[in-house]
Amino acid sequence: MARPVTDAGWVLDPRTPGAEKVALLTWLMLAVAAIAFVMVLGLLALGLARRRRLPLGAERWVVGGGLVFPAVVILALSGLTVWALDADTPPAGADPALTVNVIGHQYWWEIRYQPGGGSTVSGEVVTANELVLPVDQPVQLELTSDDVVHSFWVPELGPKRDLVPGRTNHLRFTIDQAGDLRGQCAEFCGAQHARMAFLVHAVPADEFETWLANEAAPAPVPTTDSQRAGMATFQQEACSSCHAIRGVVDDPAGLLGADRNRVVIGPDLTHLAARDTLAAVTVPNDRGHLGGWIADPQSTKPGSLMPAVPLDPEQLLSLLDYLQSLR
Amino acid sequence: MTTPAVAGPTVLAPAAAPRRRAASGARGDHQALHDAWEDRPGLGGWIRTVDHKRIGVRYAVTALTFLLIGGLEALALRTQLAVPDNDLLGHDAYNQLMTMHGTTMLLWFNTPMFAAFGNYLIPLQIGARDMAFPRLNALSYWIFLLSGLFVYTSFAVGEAPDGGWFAYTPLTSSVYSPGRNLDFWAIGITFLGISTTVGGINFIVTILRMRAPGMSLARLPIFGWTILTMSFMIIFALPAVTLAGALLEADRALGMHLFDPNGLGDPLLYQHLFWIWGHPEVYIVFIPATGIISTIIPTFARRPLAAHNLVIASVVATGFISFGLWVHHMFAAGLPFLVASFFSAASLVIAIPSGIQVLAWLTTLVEGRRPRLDPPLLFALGFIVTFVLGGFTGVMVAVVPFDQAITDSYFVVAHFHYVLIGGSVMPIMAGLYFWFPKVTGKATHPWLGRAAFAAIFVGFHVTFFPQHILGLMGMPRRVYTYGSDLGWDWLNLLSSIGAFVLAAGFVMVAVDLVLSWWRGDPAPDDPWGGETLEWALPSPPPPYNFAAAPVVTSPRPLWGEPEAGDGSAGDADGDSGGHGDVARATGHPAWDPVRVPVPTIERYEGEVLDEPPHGHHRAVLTSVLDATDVHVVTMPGPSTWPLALAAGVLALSTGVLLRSGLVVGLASAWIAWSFYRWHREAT
Repeated sequence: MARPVTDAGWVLDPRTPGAEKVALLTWLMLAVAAIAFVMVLGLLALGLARRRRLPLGAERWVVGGGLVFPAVVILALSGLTVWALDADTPPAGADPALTVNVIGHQYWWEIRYQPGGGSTVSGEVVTANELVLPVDQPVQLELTSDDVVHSFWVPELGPKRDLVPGRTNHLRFTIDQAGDLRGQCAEFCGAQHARMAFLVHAVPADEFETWLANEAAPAPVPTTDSQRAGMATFQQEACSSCHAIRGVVDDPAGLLGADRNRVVIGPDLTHLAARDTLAAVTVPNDRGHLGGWIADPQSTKPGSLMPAVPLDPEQLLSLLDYLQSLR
Repeated sequence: MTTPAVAGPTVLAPAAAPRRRAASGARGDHQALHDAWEDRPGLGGWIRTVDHKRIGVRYAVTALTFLLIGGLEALALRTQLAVPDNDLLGHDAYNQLMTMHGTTMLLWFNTPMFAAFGNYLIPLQIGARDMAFPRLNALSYWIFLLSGLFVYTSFAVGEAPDGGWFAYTPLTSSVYSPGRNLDFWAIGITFLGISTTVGGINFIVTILRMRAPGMSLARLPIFGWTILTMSFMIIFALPAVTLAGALLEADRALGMHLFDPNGLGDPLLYQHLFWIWGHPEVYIVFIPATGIISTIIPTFARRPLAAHNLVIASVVATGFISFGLWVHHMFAAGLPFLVASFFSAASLVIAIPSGIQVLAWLTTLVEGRRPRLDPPLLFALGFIVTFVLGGFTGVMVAVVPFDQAITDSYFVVAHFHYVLIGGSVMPIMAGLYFWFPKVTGKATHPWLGRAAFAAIFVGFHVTFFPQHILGLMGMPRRVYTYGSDLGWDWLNLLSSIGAFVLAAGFVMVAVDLVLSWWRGDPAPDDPWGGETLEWALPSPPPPYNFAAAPVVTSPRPLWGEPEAGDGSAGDADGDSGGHGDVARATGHPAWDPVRVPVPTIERYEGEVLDEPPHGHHRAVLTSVLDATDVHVVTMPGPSTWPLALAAGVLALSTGVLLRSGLVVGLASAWIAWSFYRWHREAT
């Protein structure tokens, strides 16, 4: 459904009302800074260019330019801070249409859609690294981490928010136009902090419902011999120690307790083939890259916690057939 | 042995002094002083010295070596980032170099560099013969050196710290960083903290008690005010990071779970402890830099610093306000709105004292004589331009919603390099060129310094200006590589090219200073016409600094007083009576400082200063506020024990690193023995 994202992002291309206020504030501050900088350069040039001493009345300049001027700017900025932060805190009682849990892992994003909340889909939806969101609907993200501190950042969506283990942070926004955005972890989180990105697909509400219904369904049943062989490989080899495929392997770590969030090791692969990218937006999700990623994860993303799983070529090909059928 | 000699500053005025002559004399006049103060030749004298000038130079050479190392690390980082998907450095090497670049630059270069300036200059500027605690001063240096060697040993064993210079938990816990990398870091900063803390205490006592007779606090040179403010900040801020490092090590070595969310700990506790020090630290390396600028600009403009008292008030205010800023490093951590608002307001308010200082420098330049563009002034001007830009982005990041948008991005990397290189390193370069002739007695090369300034200024802006844009384009900090499809390529390449130009500038400074020291032309004792006491001394100054205590009657002792009657004008221009107003009142704008000889006193009711008995170090103590109530005291002399004690702390650190109770026990015993011997050894 989505095109690959090629642009990094741009803070000054806001896609939410809150980010719009921040962008406006940024331009305003840049303009004031530019004027003040020209004045500083002017005084400096005067200091170097004039032939004789200029008795300006230095004290008046110091008080006026160094005290009164910044004080006025600071007062204005304080007011604007409150005005711009207002967008970040929705009015009390305004329930978000959709609540999504985002859980940071070294070095990928676990994404869990909370059932209900206006959506017709009631089943559990768990995915990774790609956040599909409806436009024009208030969305709430609940952010936490399973290991170290990470930070959720999409430049076009305004504020970033840290994912702190043991705490849940919130981020609320309403995206006002459809499109694909790229986000990236903004808090240093270890070896592959650089390759811990994610995508946001902002889509119309009906398209979102279709996507969510598909994701809520269990994994497609394999239809060819090769796919069936691939499923067996997945179940028998190390893959199923870390990755879930709902309906096939529900409890990869064998630790499933009351709190399902705490035992996730690797991304849920139930609808892997529906995603655009692999390894937290490191490579495109096509047959070649998927095969390379499984055969030798450390060359694609050195320092990744995914180990190489020794498979013979036949096993790998059938596994690819199976994984690519998981739409 | 102490004698309350004089009732007030008027008694110390030239007329009351027993004898008038220049504050220094030829060596032959003061053979006894020379014998008492000069270190023995050879390695023994080198190790045992407590001479603040030798320690100051040592501090400078060591800190500049760390600048070189940190700079090479930065070049490696910029080379890796020059092109997308680069595999020159792996993530491991990059993360180690990135961590050590930040740690080295702030902790082992920038802060100790001001200890170097302070060590060398404070006793000279206040007319003293040494620091208040000379052996403690030696200890500060040795611990600084050995802690640096300790941390850099990590590279030799292939386990350099890699958790970022801020070392956030739980990434740095033993679960996610099982190697010794973070042990080197946590133990190293705790180790270094001893040096910085005792150094700060030493500066405070020196400035408050060792000032020359008549140098009331109001007459303390502005560089002294900045070192005093910096030192108070150090003793209040540093315990937080020492605690953070020690508790982190306790988590790692003893399983304390203080910061472990699975053990009722909280990672945010660590962030608070780190930044309670981390933000004041930025001002700890900025405030003394402003002191250098406030010394150089009036000297070149031949006009006393405009709004002198307002600038001092700004320096002190910056010191206070800087303790209310730390949470602005955590605006994205999910703290309550009210908390963020308070810290946002404080972060904005700190712009006011900075604004006052910038305007004071600019108006001093405009109202002064047209200055000659020598390297010290060039670096000072480069500082103003660069720091002002960094100040503007500083105001921007104080605004919570904007900060949440760009924090932890390259915008912030650009911002803090503007305020750290622009606000601190450029003033350091200005100060190096300004005081080099005093320290060495040699002049620097006529144009190499100017060329170095051009390379540093241009290289700096080419390196760091594009990083603002990269941040707005979504490039996060601390990434070891990036994809080629993100549009970040050419700005990163430009930034990396700039880094090499910047580095070339620093190489030129190094070449200039080393060659000039080795075989430069001799410099006059006072090449710039400075206003403070060090310029009345020969270059380099004799080991005892002042043969007799100078008597100070003005905030600018070598520039003399304004004409009689003008002192009552009364304005914000300083207690000396406001030269700007004098100029306006007399319609005579060409105020030129008159060089005056400094009166001295050599004798207080039988206590002779320049004929020390038994070769002891003798110095003058004065009262805290007015610098009256003169006492003569015997100071501790050279000693081996500061180095021995520092070596004991190194052994203790190594014992903790190796988790060896035996080494820790032996080292502790050695430290106790050194401490005992230190105090037993005759002065």
